[in-house]
Amino acid sequence: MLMRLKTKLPYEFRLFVVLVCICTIASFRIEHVSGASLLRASDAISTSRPSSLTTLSNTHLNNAKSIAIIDNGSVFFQGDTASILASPGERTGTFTIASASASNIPTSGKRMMYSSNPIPYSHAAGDMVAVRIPAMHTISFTTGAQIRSNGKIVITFPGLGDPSDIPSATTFAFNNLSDLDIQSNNATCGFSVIAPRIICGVQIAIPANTTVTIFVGCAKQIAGVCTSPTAKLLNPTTAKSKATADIWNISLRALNPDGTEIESSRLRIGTIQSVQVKAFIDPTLSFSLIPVGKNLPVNTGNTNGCNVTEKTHPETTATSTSIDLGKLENTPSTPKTSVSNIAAQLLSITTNARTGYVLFATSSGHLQNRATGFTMPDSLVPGPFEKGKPWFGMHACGKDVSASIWTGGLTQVCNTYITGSGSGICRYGWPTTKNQLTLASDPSGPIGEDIVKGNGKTTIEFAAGIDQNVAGGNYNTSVTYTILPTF
Amino acid sequence: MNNHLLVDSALIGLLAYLFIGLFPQPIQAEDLSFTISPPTIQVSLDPGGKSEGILRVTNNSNQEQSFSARVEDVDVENKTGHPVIAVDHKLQNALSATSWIGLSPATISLQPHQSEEIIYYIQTPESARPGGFYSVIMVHPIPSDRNPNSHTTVQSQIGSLLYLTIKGAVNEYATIERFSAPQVLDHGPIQISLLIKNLGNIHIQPKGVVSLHNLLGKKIAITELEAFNIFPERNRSYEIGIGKDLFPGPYWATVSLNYGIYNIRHLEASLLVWVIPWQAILTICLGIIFLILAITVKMKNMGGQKPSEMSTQNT
Repeated sequence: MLMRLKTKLPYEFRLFVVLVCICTIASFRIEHVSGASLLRASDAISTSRPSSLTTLSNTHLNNAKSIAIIDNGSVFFQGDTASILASPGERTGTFTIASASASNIPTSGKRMMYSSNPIPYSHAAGDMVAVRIPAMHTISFTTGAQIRSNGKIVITFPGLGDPSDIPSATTFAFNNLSDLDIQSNNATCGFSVIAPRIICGVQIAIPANTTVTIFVGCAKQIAGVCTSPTAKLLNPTTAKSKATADIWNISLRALNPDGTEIESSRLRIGTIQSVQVKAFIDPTLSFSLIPVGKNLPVNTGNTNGCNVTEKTHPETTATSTSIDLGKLENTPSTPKTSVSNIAAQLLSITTNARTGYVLFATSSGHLQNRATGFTMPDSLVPGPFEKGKPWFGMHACGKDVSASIWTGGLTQVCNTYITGSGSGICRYGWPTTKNQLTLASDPSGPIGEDIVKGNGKTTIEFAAGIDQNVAGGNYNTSVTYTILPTF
Repeated sequence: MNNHLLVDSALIGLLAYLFIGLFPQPIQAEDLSFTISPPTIQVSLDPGGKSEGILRVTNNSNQEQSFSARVEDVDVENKTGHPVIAVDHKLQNALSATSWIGLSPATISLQPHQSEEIIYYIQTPESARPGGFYSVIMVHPIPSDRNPNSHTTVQSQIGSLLYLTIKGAVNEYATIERFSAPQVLDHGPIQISLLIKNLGNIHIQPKGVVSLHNLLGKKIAITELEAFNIFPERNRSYEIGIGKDLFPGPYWATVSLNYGIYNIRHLEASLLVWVIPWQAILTICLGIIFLILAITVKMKNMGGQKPSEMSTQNT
């Protein structure tokens, strides 16, 4: 066949075809070398904690042991070394943070920061207060093509570059980084530093398919492991409203001696770069709160775990954030007559962790008329409504609830009757600010709706009854449900 | 014809509307539901060590919701082992890791069914003593609407327990404060009460068994203890039922457990319990006594009659 083609086609044509093929193949090879990507490029940082930077809110006097700062969300820890940066005419004062106040102390939007030693030099309000968080960068990549001797590897950090030792909001401040703080493995480099760039002058050609590691912030490395870290580059500060927002782009280029690009890559490092999540299934703890509507059985949605079938009052309003018991009526005087003002919520807890859960409540105090100071009687130890007497509280019902505490019997079956109505009387208790009231618990998980033992559903009834001596007006309190895994 | 169809449709629609309206909605729309992950965090550091991690918060509800996070001291109730928020900060500087933990961001806003991460940073001082330190990262929804007329405002929060261990020579020491049961039982099972107190400065999780031996030294029952953590300076109670069908006689119950980081510290205690079916024995004894009494009375009656019978025979 070929012989036949040879004889049929003229030589010039055959030569033309061969040349076209050679040029095509050559152009493919050139494309592969020029403009290709460095392979498996990455940058791992030793800590992703952002640097902290805020300003003095008040003048600081020489040797005072505390400062007031603007609370911009920056994180400061006990043991951090903080610096009050000098404005013109001032000197920088450095101290170790001993403790910090809660937010909005001494005034809204401010915090106090305390030192165990006097903080030197006076500073004016508005001076910057910084905690520098240096991190070591381990930049690694695999060459796709040879980098010739006298070629370059250029690492460019984001932003315009900042050689100073003050944390930046837009880049990694170089913090006086020198070539002695940079080490390389599988590459012989002469390093030079010009923020935001670090340049490796390649002294011995690096073959293709070589994994190169460059440590920025390291005084000595052995076989690709930094044995003497000297973290220098300062992590940027953050003003993020979301934890995953701080992503920084780092450019990586391999150049020929004449400056033409061999290959390049762009790295993205984030604040969670160094955090490893090893679990295949994340353990979770979930909570949901569903208000039970008006004039419905209180065990609506929890009929498997709670046997209390009395109804909520037609005038009560329950939401996920409030309970309105309506206009309170007198506590009945006749046995086996239910208290009128009842509202309910259904709390659901699920977890796939082996730890179980405990659900407890704390409150702001008694149900109180703020105008008169009159408080409705209640008790931390759950008890029943007494004949014709005022009482207020909450009642828990569900598979994970102790029947002996909340009904005084062996079962959950009860009604909100007064004492003297026989057995099965729902008991009502109310927590205090410091003394919690345990509503439900299960010592071991997983806990879900389909598991008979400890289905995680708890119905909470709220009820109140008055007598003629209770002062009129609006009565308020607040309750907080807290769900924790068992210890 | 078309008019008829329209009227019929309207009537059917109205009837359906009224029919549905007769029945109240079984439950109101779920409007608060959220998840945290993980529920527990365990970190081990050298003094002066640092660490960081992620707490993921998910808004499971159908509306946008903001959440706030903060770090609190945590304490544990005696006996039950239920964790509580230490509002009076008694643990500060003793077992608390709260001042060493920072969160970023402390507030997040989530769209329906969206997740977001809160990063926790842990930084311990060089002077931190070896042992256990504890805190809880609380996440709570920030209420967007409050009913000013409501009697009771309701807030909710979930916590992630943080166990921080500072490496070094930790103090692990626990004792059995109580290992008791009724000395005499009518029948099994034997209800044993065990109370373990952790006197060390790090939490422990005792693991072991309670076994029951009979008069001949033969092991006749064994029960594994539930594995619970015991907080430093707190105790934890266990209620164990062992040995269902027991013959009368003496039994020795023994608890044997190990604890500690390397699980080599040992605790052991024993007690003696007599199983005596006293009700049955009492019934038998009473029966015997009754029988003896009856025989005695009978004998007395018979003894009294003999002389008269004899005199009658003599006349």
